[in-house]
Amino acid sequence: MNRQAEISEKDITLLCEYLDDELSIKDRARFEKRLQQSPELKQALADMTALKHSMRNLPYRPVPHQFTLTRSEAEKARRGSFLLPGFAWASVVSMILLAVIFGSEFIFANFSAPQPVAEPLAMTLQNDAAPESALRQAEEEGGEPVYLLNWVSVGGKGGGGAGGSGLGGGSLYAGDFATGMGGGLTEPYAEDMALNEPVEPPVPAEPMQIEEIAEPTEVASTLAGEKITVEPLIFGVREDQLGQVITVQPEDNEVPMVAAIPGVIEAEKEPLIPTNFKLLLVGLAAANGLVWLLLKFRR
Amino acid sequence: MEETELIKLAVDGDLDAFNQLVLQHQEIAFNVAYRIVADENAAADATQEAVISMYRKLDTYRGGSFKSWFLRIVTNACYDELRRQRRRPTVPIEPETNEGELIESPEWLEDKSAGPEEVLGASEVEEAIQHCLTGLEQKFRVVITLVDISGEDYETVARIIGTPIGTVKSRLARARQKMQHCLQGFGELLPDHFRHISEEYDE
Repeated sequence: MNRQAEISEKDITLLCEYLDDELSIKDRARFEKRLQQSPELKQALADMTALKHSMRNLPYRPVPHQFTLTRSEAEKARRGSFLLPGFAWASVVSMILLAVIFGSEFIFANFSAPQPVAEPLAMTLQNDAAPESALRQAEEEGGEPVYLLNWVSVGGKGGGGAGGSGLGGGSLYAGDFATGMGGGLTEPYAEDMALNEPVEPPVPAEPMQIEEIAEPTEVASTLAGEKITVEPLIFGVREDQLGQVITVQPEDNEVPMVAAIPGVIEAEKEPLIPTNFKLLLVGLAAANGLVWLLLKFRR
Repeated sequence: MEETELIKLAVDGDLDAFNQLVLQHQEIAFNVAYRIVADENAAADATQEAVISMYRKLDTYRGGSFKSWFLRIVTNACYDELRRQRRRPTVPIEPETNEGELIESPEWLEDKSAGPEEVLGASEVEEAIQHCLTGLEQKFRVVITLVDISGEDYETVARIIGTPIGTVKSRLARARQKMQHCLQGFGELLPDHFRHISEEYDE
């Protein structure tokens, strides 16, 4: 029977600690008491002592040569000492930056609240001729002008309310192009509000000037060949009332014929961090890591 | 000159002081390396690497036992050396006939690794111990070498190999058990104090 097998792993560990004088005085006394009662433990201790003694007395091998450094070896060692960690850290920092950038972009892309209505505020006329004809028809039929509101120069002011996107800057024709204005309270400037004047289709970048403000009335308008009854959206707009809020909710089937301004939408899609910068970081991380590996394994 | 004084000078960039420290500790460093990597050339390489590494890291020395600090660097150099050996195992040059053809079933393919009797016949207990030591797993070999050959205490060994003291205790116990088990194979050829260990296993 194997006497060693009778001794538990814990006792073997205790034996080692006893042998190496690593037990506390209290534990040592307790273990010595056990040793006196257990011949197996005593024998195991003798075996281990013999092994330790033999190991401890192994003759020292003479060194094959002196391991001291010459001046040139020392200088070489010093040079390498900052290069290696330098490249390693540069690589790590680049990787961390990349992780932060990609992580933040991922979070913004997936967990930020969606921007509800960007297109209506960025709309413009698809059919430039339509408002003009509508104006003419309205004048012929009722003699009253069509109200034309222009928010060209108040870009950004329409987005203040709940759901507003802040991407103002489009032109809005009362009755036909009020879609999307429910987003918030806006303050159109007086000089941007033109009434009773058939004008050229608005250019988003240039605000229109007001020449005259007439009394509002109900008119009918034809847009893109379809006759639409246009309810006057602004009643009694006078100079002293200019700058007040005007919002109209469109009917479901009255989808305005608008087209997004390409520049505005594309600007939205542009990433926060330029792709070139990301590529530069990837390159830096890879290059530094590669140099570090080369230096490490050339040693 | 006192060791602390030498250390201070070495940290300040005095190469002669540094070399003095190397001379004081190179024997134990080389022998620990030799017991871990089990090859004299590899041990010399590991020790030299450790000395260069120590020179680079001198400014990170924060007091305490200089020998322990040096042995920690030596142990890490030995790990690197063993890794390198695993990556690029040495292959003997294959013998060829005069015509340049490889010899089929050459004699050198025969396993000539020394058995216990041959080991003891060739040298003595030292060879037997080294034979068993080399057969241990690296983690056990390092611990038993540092405790039994270098004479470090558990706490220092824990610092050197970067593990909790409990791990050192358990590894040392296992290493000693394995060594005893290995040495039983040498049976009657062992000196008296080893014989009863073998007898126990035979019972």
